[in-house]
Amino acid sequence: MGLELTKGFRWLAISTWVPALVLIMWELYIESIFFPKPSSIVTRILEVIDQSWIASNVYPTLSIIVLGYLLGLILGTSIGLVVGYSSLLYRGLTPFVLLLRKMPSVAKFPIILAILGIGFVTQIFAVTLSVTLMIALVTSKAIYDSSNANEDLVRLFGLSRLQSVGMVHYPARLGEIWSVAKAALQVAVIVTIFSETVGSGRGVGYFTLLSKELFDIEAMWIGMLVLGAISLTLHLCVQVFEKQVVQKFFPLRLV
Amino acid sequence: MFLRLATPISVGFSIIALWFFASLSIDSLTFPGPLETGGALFQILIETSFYLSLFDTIWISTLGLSLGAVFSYLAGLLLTQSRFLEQSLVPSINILRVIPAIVLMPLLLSTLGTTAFAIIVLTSYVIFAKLIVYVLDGLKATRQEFVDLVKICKLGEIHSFLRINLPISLRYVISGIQLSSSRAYGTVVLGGLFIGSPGLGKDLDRARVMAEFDQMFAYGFFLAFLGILLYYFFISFEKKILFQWGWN
Repeated sequence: MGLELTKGFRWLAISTWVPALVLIMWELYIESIFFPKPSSIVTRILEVIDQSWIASNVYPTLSIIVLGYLLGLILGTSIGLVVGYSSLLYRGLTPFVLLLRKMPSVAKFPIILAILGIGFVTQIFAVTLSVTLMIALVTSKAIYDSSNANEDLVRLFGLSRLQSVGMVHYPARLGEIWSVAKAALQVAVIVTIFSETVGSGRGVGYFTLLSKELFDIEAMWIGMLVLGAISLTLHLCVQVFEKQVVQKFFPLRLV
Repeated sequence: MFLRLATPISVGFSIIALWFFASLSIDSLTFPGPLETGGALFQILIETSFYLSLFDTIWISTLGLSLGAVFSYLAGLLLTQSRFLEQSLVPSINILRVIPAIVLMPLLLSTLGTTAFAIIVLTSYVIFAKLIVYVLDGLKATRQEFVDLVKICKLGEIHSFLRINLPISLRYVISGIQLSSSRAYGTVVLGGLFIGSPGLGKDLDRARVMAEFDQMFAYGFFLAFLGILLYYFFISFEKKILFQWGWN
């Protein structure tokens, strides 16, 4: 136990000394309008961030990212499983899904905005669409490839379609699918921030850009730090979910 | 073979037909049909300014990708020289990796403006953050037999690097470049849309601001088409290089 603790502290010390040194150097030596001292940013954070700021900025941003991402994950996985299992659907739909997927996610937003208009639903739709395309494409390819590669195995065990997906095809490509799922989270954050600045006028992304326009650089830094913290926290949540839930729910038994 | 081609072609025609009928029932100004979009695309393609923007998008993406790749390789080399250095810096790099480029854009806009240079810096950063993992994996992938062989043959450090570490790690780096290429392209388009840096993203944003919806759709289609082209280009680039080096 004691040895574990010492190791933990050692790791913490080694991995934090560089950021700590950078912060100290920044505090002591950097004099720039665009890089206000960390201490003044912290003082400003204490002034700005309160319950009402969180409710009017963090809550809208977080709800769009989380809702859009979860919907995209569910829809993308469902579509990917169905399309990947049918070679006819796979051959017919993949070129078009790929075409839509390869259009940069932020380039889709002005088009969605023109069709659906400004609003919360439009933002959720844009995030959901981007995530769905990514997940559907990787899942369908994974299931299609695995169905071809593990055809004999499925026949040998006499598995039904549903069983073969749950016990062979999905677990066999879990790593591939979830590495894209983690990348899709970044896309969800990007589309949300972009949609806030173009189409909604609220949220942390909008706050950050507005602060920059008003030349309130400390507030801009607060926005950037909060967005960074949101990205990091959500990434850790997805990572924990993958390890604790998905990998346990779909263990690699047969392949 | 016939079924292979017939299925996507018939799905393509169905999507275009669906789009056509949908555009009739929705406001044709904000939702142009396939004919209006095709006409706008033709108009765009005959303008010289389009090719300048296309050129900007391609050279900024390529330069950002190349610089990111070079920096990540150099950083990877540096980090693998010392275990302490790697342990000190990799956790911070891992944290930066999950923060999307758009978060840094307001700072970039304030300090570097809406220039191509600003987007080259951002694209390099994005590629660096993505590629560094591949570089570290590649540099650590040298098998013990090779290390022993280097010792037996008494090759110098430079020779052993050029003959063993570099070829082995480049295999990982090239796969990483193939996977990161769409990120470089996406970041350049994002820069055009978000801060108005040069390229096709800026043109798409101009069409949005001017409410020229048919042009906006046309730009969207062209960006998707260009994305597909880049995707296949980098896949064939990766295959060609790995094949030439006998790694396929």
